[in-house]
Amino acid sequence: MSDLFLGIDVGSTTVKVVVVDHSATLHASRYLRAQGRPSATLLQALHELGQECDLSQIAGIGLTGSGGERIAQQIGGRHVNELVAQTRAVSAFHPEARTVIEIGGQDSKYLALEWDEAQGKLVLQDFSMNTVCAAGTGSFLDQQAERLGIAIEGEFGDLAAQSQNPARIAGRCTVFAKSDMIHLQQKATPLPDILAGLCLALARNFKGVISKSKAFTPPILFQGGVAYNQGVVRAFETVLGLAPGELIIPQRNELMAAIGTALITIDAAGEAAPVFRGFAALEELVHEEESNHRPLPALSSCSFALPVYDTRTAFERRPEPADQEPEIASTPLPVYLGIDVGSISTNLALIDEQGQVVARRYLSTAGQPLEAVRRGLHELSVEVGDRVAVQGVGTTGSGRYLTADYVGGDVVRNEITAQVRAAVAVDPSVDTIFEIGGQDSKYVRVSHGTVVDFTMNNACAAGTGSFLEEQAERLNLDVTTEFSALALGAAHPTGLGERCTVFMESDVIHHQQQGADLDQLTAGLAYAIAENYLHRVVNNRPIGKKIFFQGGVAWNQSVVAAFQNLLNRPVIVPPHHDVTGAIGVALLAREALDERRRAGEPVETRFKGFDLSAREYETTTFECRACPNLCEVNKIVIVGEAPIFYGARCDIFEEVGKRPHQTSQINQIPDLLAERAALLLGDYTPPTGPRSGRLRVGIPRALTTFDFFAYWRTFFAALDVEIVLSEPTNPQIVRATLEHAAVESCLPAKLLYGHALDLEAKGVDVILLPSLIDREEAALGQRESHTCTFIAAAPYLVRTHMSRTIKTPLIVTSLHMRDEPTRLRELREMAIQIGIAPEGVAAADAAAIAAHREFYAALRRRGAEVLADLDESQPAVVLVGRSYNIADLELCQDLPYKLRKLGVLPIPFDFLPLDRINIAHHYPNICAPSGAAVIASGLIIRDDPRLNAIYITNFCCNPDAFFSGFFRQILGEKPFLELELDEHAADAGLITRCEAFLDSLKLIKGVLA
Amino acid sequence: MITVTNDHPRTIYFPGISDHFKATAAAYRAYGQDAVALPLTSRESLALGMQVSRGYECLSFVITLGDLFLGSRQPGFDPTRAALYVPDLTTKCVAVNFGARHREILREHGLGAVKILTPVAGNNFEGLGTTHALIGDLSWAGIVAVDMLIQIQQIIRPYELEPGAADATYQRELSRVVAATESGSINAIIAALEVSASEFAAIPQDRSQIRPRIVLVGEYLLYNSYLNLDLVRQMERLGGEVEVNRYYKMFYGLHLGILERARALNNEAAYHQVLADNTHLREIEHRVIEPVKHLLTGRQIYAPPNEVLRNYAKPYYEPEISNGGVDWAEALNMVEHGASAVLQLVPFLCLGSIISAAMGSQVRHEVGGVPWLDVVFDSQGGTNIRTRLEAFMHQAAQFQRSGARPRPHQPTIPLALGGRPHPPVATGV
Repeated sequence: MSDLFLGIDVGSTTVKVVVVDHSATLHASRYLRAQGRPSATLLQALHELGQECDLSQIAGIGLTGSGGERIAQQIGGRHVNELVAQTRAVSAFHPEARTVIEIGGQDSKYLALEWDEAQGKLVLQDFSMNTVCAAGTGSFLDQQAERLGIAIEGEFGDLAAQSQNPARIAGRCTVFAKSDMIHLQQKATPLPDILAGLCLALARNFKGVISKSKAFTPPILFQGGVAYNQGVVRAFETVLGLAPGELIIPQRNELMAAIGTALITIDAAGEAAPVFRGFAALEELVHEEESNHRPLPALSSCSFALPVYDTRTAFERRPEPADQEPEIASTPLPVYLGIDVGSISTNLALIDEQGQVVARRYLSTAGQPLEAVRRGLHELSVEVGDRVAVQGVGTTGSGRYLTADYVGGDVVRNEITAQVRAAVAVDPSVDTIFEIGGQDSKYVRVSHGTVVDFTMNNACAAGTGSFLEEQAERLNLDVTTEFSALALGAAHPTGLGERCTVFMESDVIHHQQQGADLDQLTAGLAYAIAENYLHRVVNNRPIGKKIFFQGGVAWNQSVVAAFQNLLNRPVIVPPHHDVTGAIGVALLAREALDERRRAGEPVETRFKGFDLSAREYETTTFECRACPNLCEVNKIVIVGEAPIFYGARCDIFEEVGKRPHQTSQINQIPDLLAERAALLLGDYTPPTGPRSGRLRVGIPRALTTFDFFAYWRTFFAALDVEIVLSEPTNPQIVRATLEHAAVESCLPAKLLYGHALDLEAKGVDVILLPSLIDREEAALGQRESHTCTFIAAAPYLVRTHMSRTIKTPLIVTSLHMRDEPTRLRELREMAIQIGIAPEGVAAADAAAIAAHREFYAALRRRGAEVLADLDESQPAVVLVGRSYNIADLELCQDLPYKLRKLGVLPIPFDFLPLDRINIAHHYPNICAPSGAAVIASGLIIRDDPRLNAIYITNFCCNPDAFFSGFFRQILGEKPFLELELDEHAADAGLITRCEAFLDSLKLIKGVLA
Repeated sequence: MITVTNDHPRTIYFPGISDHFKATAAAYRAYGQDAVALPLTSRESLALGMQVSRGYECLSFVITLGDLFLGSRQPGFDPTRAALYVPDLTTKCVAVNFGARHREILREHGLGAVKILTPVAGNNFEGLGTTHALIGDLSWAGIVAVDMLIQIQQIIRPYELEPGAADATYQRELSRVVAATESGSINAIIAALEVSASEFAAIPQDRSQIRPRIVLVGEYLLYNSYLNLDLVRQMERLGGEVEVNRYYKMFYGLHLGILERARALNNEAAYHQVLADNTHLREIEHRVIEPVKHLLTGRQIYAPPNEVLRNYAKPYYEPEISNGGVDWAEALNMVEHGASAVLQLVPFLCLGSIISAAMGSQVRHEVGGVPWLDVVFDSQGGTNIRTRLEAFMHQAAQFQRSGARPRPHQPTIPLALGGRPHPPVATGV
């Protein structure tokens, strides 16, 4: 028997093997990508190591990692827990370490270690890992690198390290971060800034979600494959406040778990151990087909006769004018250009005046939308440029505004309207459209050519093409060829999760490790996307009889088959289904320009010509500091043109000649949110100049402050106390929140952390965090009137979590606002705590209650005025939801401004006479004022044909799962838009939803550039 | 409040969340009301619930719905003669909205004739007819008895010498307790538990090596092996012994919240009413536990008094806000009584459990740094949790070996009604 021990780490994406002796000397090692075949990869590693060492006389074998236990059982090795193995290795090589960050392919781990004198080694004091979510893991960066076409090893980190201005990317979840990245690409943000932003998102995600804001006690080790990425190292240094080089990267850091496993195997050499059965058993495992999956019906089990459309003449033909001259070959053919810039693909289509497709392109966006557009124009020019004359240009897709500016677009329309236009052109009887693209999924219901309902994926990539591409890549398959063929041949598709991309990814790994075959998995993934789409996007909406399946994913016959199996009805893939968005917007451009011609307006396209492809442009990014929003703005300079600024939430840069008519349109529409803010803030101005000796109380501009600030400013003014509000929510506050909020709640509740930190920085004497247990009824007929559990609990959580970080006293006061004696007692206790005499509290409270009531009375009065003046010429939308969503412009992504920009009047729902509505007849059991307000507003909106609704909610808002359901019931056939908001920063999806919704209501007539 | 009508006799269906509902159903049958406990929630019923709901409501909402939909497929199910039991335990929880939404969904799926039975805990379930107090007491005794069977099963199983003996005994004794409940007598339940005690005690065990005891908290998911990811057995396989938080303690938690509110509002009538109810339930609890208390090795015999949890919670949190939000205090109290680690199961989007997880994972540092692990259940199963459970078990064993015991932070807070003292500002947390 030799002195050599094997430590094997079978991870989700890689296999690591080390050969170690008693003195912890590393004799040999292998680090191989598993490509979904962990057992075969391990065999390969062992075969290679066998060339360097004599493995026949190994003294012991230990296995760790997500796939380690199964193999240990099969071959007779010792199974070692990964975290325990990591601890052992760190104890051997870096006993000074107290915190370990470990980021591998699918797993991330945080370890807190302490030295145990009795045992003479480090022990595991605390830990946390990612669960079924892959956020904060290496696979996230792998995916993005693949998407951007850059090498994850070396190039990614090198480029990220060059960034001077990292982009802002949400970090709560892989999917959201990915969405942000795509939208940044479409705004032409420089690549190094995007990569650095991704690294920062990963680091912040690790700190906030994986370590759950646990302490990072130095010295800190960073290990796992991702530790080689310099961009991530730099991001951790930034996020953890470390000096460059302070983060310790152990040598061979990617092998630490394998080494620790070997050392534990050595430690236990004298103990009873499993009997090694040899590696032949591993060979058996490779070929074994055991899988405990629940099989689904074969994809080929369901087929239907489908209509056939002629690909050349599919799109509507208009009768040719009777007096048309015979076509002369030398006369350029009048055509309309449609451009659809999406996350994965950029599509261009030229249609003639009869709606026939003259030429088309389906190109990869590859992270550079303008490059893709330029290439597409160049290719079209080569193909038909000398034979056509472009009469008009329409742009759509999430990069539509940028593209319109770049190419000289005439019509900018949202993707939904464009997709529907194309579908109806193919077959006017279509009643349902599934559209699945790279990052977006859409469902549209059509009746007689009109959109009557639609929805999009809610900032979630479940059921989109990008997931399929990533999974195919992980399985080493070509998604366009092998994937579908394999899937359609599977007799027993694997049943996978159906909720979220990340869960599905975890399930695939799990089933792989259980031995599921590629054909079973691919078929299972086809089902999974279809199920995800139906459950998460369509979500109980009606599905008609003539279903069109559009978008790039419709190329995949296995997904078409999965839909047919699940729905038991035909699913039709129309001609040019992959470029229907481009065709649709070309048709829309043709119609819009025709209409202007008919109206006698001079019509000349703004198209800058195909030769645009030869012109250079430069992109730089800066942070606009004109307001606390701190938008990231891209400045694009095309040679010979005025610069284009893109990415700002307001129109501050549009004075450079862009859409001036919209500014005047906005000015004619009342800004009721600004009026609400003015009423709420009253005479409050932040104290300036030297301190006067008065007590200064900080109040977070979050949660109930958006309802009760009139109360607080009056209360403290009466007590001669200065108050300071935290800044309006801004990116720094969001960032600080994500780094410190150790709780899985809705974003508004989390934001209390960031606002408390902002107040600490302002140097106030105390920070007041009122916990409102109850408050006045919002409508008549409520059973009780409690504030949301989480809103009441958030101040207590902030105090418990932050009292080490925030040195300013955090005063949490429970307040029963509905009961005066109790309220007064609680306020007096609070007054004593913050150091003011309690005697004046009663009078201050009386004045404050009066101010609070007057605030709401003023809202109602103004609301009544607005409703009295409202006529059909002014489209109006009521913003329904909690005031901390509607009135916090960062949280709602300045939705009111965007609506006004579209010519629509946004009305906050507390401007409606909610307090006069009795909800008891409909819902007698409502105990939450927020729910009562939602129901009351629903009753008003339902009965007023002038009013429509946008319901604003947050991810993780459990009460809204019920209240929005009630709202839907009340509104019945009247459609409303539900927007789920959170730290997801990009705003293109929001505009698309609003435009499509307003389009479907015929409230707006499209946006002309 | 009761919403079931007396138009004609109906069968009350109880969701399959736990075996406790078998006792509750038996208590109803004892008084002539037809009642059925639906089979324990399974993958199939949960999938059905997800299908008909929006998918992001509270998990217990989805479970209740799925159980009923699965039950409705059974032969003989008549929606016009069925009622679904959806108790309204606290107005602070989103569960107060379940009934209305359940009704809407049942209607949308052709089950609109099913009535929703919504007894209200806040008024001690008044409205269940003239026998509500008797049904309530009998049901309560049955629930406590089922909790005892679960406790003893989990005390014995890790040490049994004949694998499966504790499980088999549990199933037999559960039937005995349910039958005793259906007989309509609390004394019969107590007598049944006397037999159960003997049966469990007769199981051969080897207790020469006492395992680290893991506290498991997490509301309604704790008593169904599918819903709790089989965590009890998983921890036992990894070398632990599990102490699941008793189901009946949830009602004391509700009382604590109501008492706190009454105290804050100086509402003497409500305070004394709830205190009287609480005392009454505790008397029954003590009677029922008597025959088995010798088997509760190393554990607290009875639920701790309200004041104990209040004193744990108050320096950090207001118990009135949510009873689920003080699970962490329950858990740390159990650690004080010999447990070595806390496993918090968090039903996806359950506000109370999210609060408890966030508080507990911080406050544990104040009380000896006891190992604490959160596991979120979101209907996707437990992929990847094995690694965390192993490491957690490793920590629990470390904690047990170290002999460390928490140092509970227990400031003296007067319990008199009214005149609430200033909540102290937490320091050094």
